[in-house]
Amino acid sequence: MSFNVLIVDDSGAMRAVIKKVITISGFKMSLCMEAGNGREALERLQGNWVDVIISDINMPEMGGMELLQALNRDELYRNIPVIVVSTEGSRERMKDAMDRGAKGFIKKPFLPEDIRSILHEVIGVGTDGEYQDDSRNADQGDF
Amino acid sequence: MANTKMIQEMLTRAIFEVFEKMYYIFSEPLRGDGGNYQMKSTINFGGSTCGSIQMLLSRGIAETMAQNMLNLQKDEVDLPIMADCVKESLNMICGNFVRKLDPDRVFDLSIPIFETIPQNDCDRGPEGADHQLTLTFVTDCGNMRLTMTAPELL
Repeated sequence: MSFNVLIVDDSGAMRAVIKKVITISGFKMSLCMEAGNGREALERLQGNWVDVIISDINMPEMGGMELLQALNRDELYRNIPVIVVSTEGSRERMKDAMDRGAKGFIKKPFLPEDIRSILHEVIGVGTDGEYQDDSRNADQGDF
Repeated sequence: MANTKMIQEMLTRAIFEVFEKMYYIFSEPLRGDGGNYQMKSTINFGGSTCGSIQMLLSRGIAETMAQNMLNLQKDEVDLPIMADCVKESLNMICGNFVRKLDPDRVFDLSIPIFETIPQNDCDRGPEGADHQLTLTFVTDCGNMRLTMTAPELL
């Protein structure tokens, strides 16, 4: 089982690191798209199926919170799991992100294991490419 | 004074965490201005309190950040890549700091600004003024200096 991922961050270096972490963690990606902000992310979604979105919050033009809101409003995109990877990690911000539909939250700076374990939890695909038990729960953060 | 010491500890821990975790760069506090700096980045934060952080750093640190983060050779690192790494590091330092300062409240961070410092410009950051905290660090690849300005905190 391979999956399509969309990485949204205004830092190209951070996008490259996240992509590398996903790859070395053994997750099989058939397509890895990148966007520099929320608006670009919505453009990438047109005509492309995505299994998971990994998004920063603080970005120019359209930030991650606005992206979550836009995805939530769209019937087609509403069910795409979004993992927020951000320097902003206050309890209020995390709750707000979850309320807007985020399925997980990782605080920068992160360790590779943080990305790997949250991908396991959120999309339910193991590094061997097999689906995991459906009873898992996404990381809801430490509210 | 106790407040300033607490802020200093929080900012120092934020710097250590970001540089060690993301860039594999280990730093130590240094007395004095730390010497020449070639790059500068600034970010503002606003929430239950507001302020700004300016980071000055030597080119060597920016090169090492890019090399370590992206697994690049030295000759593959150019200015846009260094600028990206420097801005992202300051974004993470600021985010990490405000999480320690007030974990319950939302802070809005600005998009960091990056500038190079001309060779003959001896920019040492803001001169010691009220409401400022300046920290200097030495690493194997150069020095860096962070100045926080926060009227309500310092």
